[in-house]
Amino acid sequence: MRVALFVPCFVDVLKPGVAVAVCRVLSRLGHDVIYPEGQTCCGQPALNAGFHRDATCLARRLLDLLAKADPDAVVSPSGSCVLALRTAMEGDHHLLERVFEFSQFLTDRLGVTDIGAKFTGRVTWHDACHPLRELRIREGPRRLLQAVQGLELVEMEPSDECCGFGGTFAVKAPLVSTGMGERKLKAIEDSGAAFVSSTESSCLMQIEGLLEKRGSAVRPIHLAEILGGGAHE
Amino acid sequence: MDRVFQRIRENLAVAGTKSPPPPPPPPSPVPEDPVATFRFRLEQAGGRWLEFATEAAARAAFPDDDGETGVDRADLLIADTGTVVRTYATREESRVSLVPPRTVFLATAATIVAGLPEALWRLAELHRAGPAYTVFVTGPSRTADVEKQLVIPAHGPREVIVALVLE
Amino acid sequence: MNRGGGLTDRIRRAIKDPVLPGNVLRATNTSLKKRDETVAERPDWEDLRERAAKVKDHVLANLDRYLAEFVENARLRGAHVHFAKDAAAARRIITELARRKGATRILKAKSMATEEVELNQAFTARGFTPLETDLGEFIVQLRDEPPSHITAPALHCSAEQIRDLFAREGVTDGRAPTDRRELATWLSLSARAHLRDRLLEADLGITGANFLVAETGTVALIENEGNIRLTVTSTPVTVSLVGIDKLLPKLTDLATMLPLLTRSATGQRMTSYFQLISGALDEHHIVLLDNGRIDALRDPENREILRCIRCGACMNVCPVYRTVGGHAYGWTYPGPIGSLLSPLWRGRGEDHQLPFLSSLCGACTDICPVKIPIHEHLLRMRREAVSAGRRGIPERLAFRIFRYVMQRPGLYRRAARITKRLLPAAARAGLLRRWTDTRAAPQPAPRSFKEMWREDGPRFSKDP
Ligand code: SF4
Repeated sequence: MRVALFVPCFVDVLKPGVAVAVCRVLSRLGHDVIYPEGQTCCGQPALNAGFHRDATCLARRLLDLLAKADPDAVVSPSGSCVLALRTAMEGDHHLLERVFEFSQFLTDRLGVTDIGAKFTGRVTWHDACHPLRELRIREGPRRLLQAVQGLELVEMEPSDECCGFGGTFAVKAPLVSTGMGERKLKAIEDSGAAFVSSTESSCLMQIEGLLEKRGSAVRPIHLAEILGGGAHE
Repeated sequence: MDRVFQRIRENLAVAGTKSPPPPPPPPSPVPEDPVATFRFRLEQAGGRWLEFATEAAARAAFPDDDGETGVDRADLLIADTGTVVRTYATREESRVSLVPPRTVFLATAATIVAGLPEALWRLAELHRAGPAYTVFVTGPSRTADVEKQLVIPAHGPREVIVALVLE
Repeated sequence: MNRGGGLTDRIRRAIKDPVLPGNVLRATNTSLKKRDETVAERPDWEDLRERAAKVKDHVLANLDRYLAEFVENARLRGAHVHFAKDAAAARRIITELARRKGATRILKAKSMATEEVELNQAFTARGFTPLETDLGEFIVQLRDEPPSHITAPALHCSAEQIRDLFAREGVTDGRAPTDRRELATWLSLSARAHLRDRLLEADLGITGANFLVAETGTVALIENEGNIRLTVTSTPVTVSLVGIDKLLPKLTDLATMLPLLTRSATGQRMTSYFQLISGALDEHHIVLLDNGRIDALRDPENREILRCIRCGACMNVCPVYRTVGGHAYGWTYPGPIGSLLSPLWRGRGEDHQLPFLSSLCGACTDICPVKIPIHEHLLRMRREAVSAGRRGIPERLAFRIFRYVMQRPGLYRRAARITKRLLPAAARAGLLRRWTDTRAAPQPAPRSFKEMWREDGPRFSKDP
């Protein structure tokens, strides 16, 4: 399958390793990965701030650009950016039905759970809000993680409460955002995991910032980085 | 008041979607043993269940002149929730199941209905006919306003007994 | 009063409070757990929600008809029906009635509508304050503050705080049990004993209502404590102040709404008491409250918000509410639904900030028993705030620049490079304090993905 990468702007600048990992996983599964150049932002910050027209304009621009590469599928390591495209366009773009969040592409579109990865460590899973509630991603990533050799999945309680990032919310209401994040941190630490993983780099950025500030030993790691890390057998 | 209806109509007319009336609630699943279900739910809600051979026996067990016990009767019992339904003639009359620390509801098995929809179907007729005052009682009065911890009683009875008369 | 100051002040005060966040979290967790347990035993939960949404949509779309039907039926059964266009009118009608009756001993059942119109303040100005009979309301009344939650008014208080409050106010003699586990029981029973005589006889009772039924002119009231039953039966005159959004067409519609409401609010299959009052009291005045509700009917989007049955579940589950509690929001209705109702019904300047006080996580939408897509409405209200020109010039400018840059990949590249270079310095200079005060600054990668792709792209497909 010809798969186009949609790399959200903050992944591009701050966490390019996540996109590289996506690339590795898809290639390992035998797909032809392309990266249409000229990608910027999907418009999510504008969308959530109420600047709908600006968001639509950026979403359309990105979808048109991706469509020009004529991919069989578009895959992104961010469910909330995928959702932002849908919301901004109100579902109205021919490419939308071919745009997938990374884990959902693997489990639902391709129907794979074991991609032959190995990773040593205890990992806890953060259910990011948009993938969980809008894309109904819950069991998929867990199945993917459970298939990873050497990985032990431990649940945090609760796993589905917001980490407090929320885009510009994190800086518009820093105290509230941090208060929410601290509860998430407590859940993570109580789980006894050495790593916290998620579909969203943005949530992980918030969690990482908080973990670092308090000198925690827990490391954030994107799902793609676990799956794309090392191969077993 | 006419002005009010006028304003409502004007506002509704702006986006005049007349949605169809919703279907009535579906009937409750009928429990295999309604009496047992009622008893289970009643006890779960903190109520007590007793059985008596005759009404006289029940009344003898609970003299209602001690100020401690209000003896009342149940019009309906709702199996699904362990609820007693009682329609009172006046507000004063309803105090019998409110002010004394203990309430005893005399009941017969024939009054059991499966769930809330069934109880409301029966009550609808009564309330459509004219003034009516109905109280549903499910277990003793309670509060959880201090740290969400359950405390019994609050301002009503501490004990609710349903006395089933078998005859 | 905990509602003083601007939104930011109130948030700061709540978060810095030594006990409030812990109290709120403990209480909301307990509520959620019980809710989840009782919801799980209804396999038809989704179907019930669907039905409830349809019932409410239908009533709201035909509100004129059902309101007329209600008024007629309530009057036929002997009730007096009044209409209050706004808060001032509601206060006037009710205080005037109390004056006419010479009522000085007034009992009040828990009611958010009376909070909304600030009824107690109006009475206090006339020299007598109604007695709040619900334990939670009684506590916040003694604390001289509004409720912080619509179904659990004193949820922000710990047992120790209530213990000290009761001792100070003479509710108890101060000899509290030392074992923390006994405290809640002791406090609740002490309040019962303290209030007992006053609850058994009074001049006027004031209630709200959970539902109104059009076909029977019924006022439906749900409670656990028995204080509402006492309020209704200890007094010769009863007033019920009710928002017109609480109408249902038929008595049997309660069978749809009630299981949703009690489970969502308190995790109960059924509350201890549920009263259906169809004009049967000695003297029953029903005051129908508009206060912004009729205007909200105009827009079908806003109409959807009026489905709310005030269960409070969206508050319990909201991570923002769980962090700051209810007073921070600044009006009667806190939490996600409050962030919609405040701008819609009250609409003061600051109320329009509330839709922005959310991470849009959507937990409220998932839990709402009447399926209000709450977080989508929050987003819509943000859009409306932008198109109404209510956002500041700096923000508008920022997004104009944002869009300009993001439409031009070359410019985006350059901006990204500059950001990368300036980020550490900006962090050091304290320009990113809204992030870095509490969180470590993100570290930009040495190369962006695009650069990596250009240089090593083909290698990504090989295993490391
Ligand atoms: S919006 Fe929904 S969840 Fe929130 S109080 Fe209203 S009915 Fe309950």
